[in-house]
Formats: sequence, structure tokens, C-alpha cells
Amino acid sequence: MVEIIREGAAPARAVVSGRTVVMSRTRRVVWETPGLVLADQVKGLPGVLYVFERLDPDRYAVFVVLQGADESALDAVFDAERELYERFPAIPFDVRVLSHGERAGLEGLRSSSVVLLDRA
Amino acid sequence: MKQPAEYLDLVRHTHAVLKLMAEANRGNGQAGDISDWVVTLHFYILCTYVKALGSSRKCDFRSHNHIHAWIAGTKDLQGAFRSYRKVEEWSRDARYEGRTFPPAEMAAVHRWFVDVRDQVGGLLEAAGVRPVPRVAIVEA
Repeated sequence: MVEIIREGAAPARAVVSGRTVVMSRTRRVVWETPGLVLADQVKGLPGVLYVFERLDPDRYAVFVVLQGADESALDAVFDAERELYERFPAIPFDVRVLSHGERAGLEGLRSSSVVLLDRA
Repeated sequence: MKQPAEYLDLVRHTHAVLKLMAEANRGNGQAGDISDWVVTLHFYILCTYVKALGSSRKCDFRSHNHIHAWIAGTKDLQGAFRSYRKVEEWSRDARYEGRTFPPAEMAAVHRWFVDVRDQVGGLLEAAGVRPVPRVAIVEA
């Protein structure tokens, strides 16, 4: 039986078979990558069709596929990218913005990446 | 690491090549659509301007990604990030996706080019680098 005695700011303790064990503090783990954050930022922009992400040997490779996006949408994508450098200063990533829509080699992206946004 | 003046010589050289290419195409009756390489060489010129500025601040760059990450994180250069990245991504479209650019898109590239050139040029001059060439845009 495991009984959590206390959790919160201090390390939690549990009584396991009569012994008190100090457990590491319970904390919520949020998994985020540059692509996930970027997809969330650009998902409402007109002209954004897809966001893909894959983990290359040396970096996260993020692909934003546009079709008919106007310049304000392009600016918003690059503003979101710029913020990523502050948010992930120690994580190498590369953002590729493909303005070619359906001609952008989508099959290769689909087969090699995780689809984070699909508005097609 | 090269000195800023050496990078600015490279700016002049790439610009001269760009002009030669465009003039040769015009002299050949606009034989082909070379807008892809016109965009690419405009981007390389911008990249070299930024390398000159980086050199003036003792920054050496390892990759294109390193350069635009530096622009993103450099306070007095962040205003050039949008324009720089737009030209960069369109030049990648040109080289890797075979994209060419109609006149309206070329006009946008030229506008972004001038924006980055003038911002970086101003910062170079503020750092005491002279002369800083303001190379002209070249029509496809």
C-alpha cells in the first residue's frame, strides 16, 4: 500500500510497507517542442495549411506549409518563429516556411514527420 | 573570421555577379526566367551584410540557421527579422522547390531587401565601418 502523506512545495513522503520514503516533489510535466508551440501560434492564420515536425539528428525540423497566405500572415509566422528563439534558447531547431502549398513535397513531409496541424 | 570590410567586398562581388547574370539574360532576349537565382543572390547579399555586422561584433556564424537566430536575438536588429526571413525562405523555395517569381513577388523581395540592407547598413556605419555600400536591387 502506498499512502501519500504530503505533497506540494516540500518533497512528498509516502509510507510503503511500514517504511517512510521521501519522494521527489510531484510536478506537472509539460511536453513542448518548437513545432508544437509554433503550430499553436499559427493555427488560426489564413493560408496556413500544415505544420509538420521531425527530429533530425541535430535539431528539430519544423515545416510550415502555406497556400495563398498574404504578407500579414507571413509576418505573423515569422514573428512566432522569432519568439521561439527566446522560448527555446538551448534547443536547436530550424523553421522552414514553404509558400508553395500543394507543390511543396507534401508526401515526403507526411511520411517523415509528425503532422501537428492539418487544415487542408 | 574576416573583417567587416572583407565581407562588404564580397557584397560588391556578389552584386556584380548578379548584375552580369541579369544583363546576360536580357541581352539574350530574356531567354529564361532567372527570377529564382535573382532572389537567391539577393539573399546571399543580405546574408553577407549580416555577416559583416556580426564580424564588427566579434560574432562568427556557422550556418544560415545561426545567422537568423542571431538576428532574432539581437535587440537592435530584430526589426530586420521579418524581411530577412521572407527573402531567405523564398530563396530556399527557389533553390529547392524550383519556384520562380512573377513581377509582383519580385517587387516584394526588393522591398524586403532594401529594408534589411538599410537597417544593417545603418548599424555598420554606427559601428564605425565605412564605406558601407548600398548595392541597388537588380531586376530579373
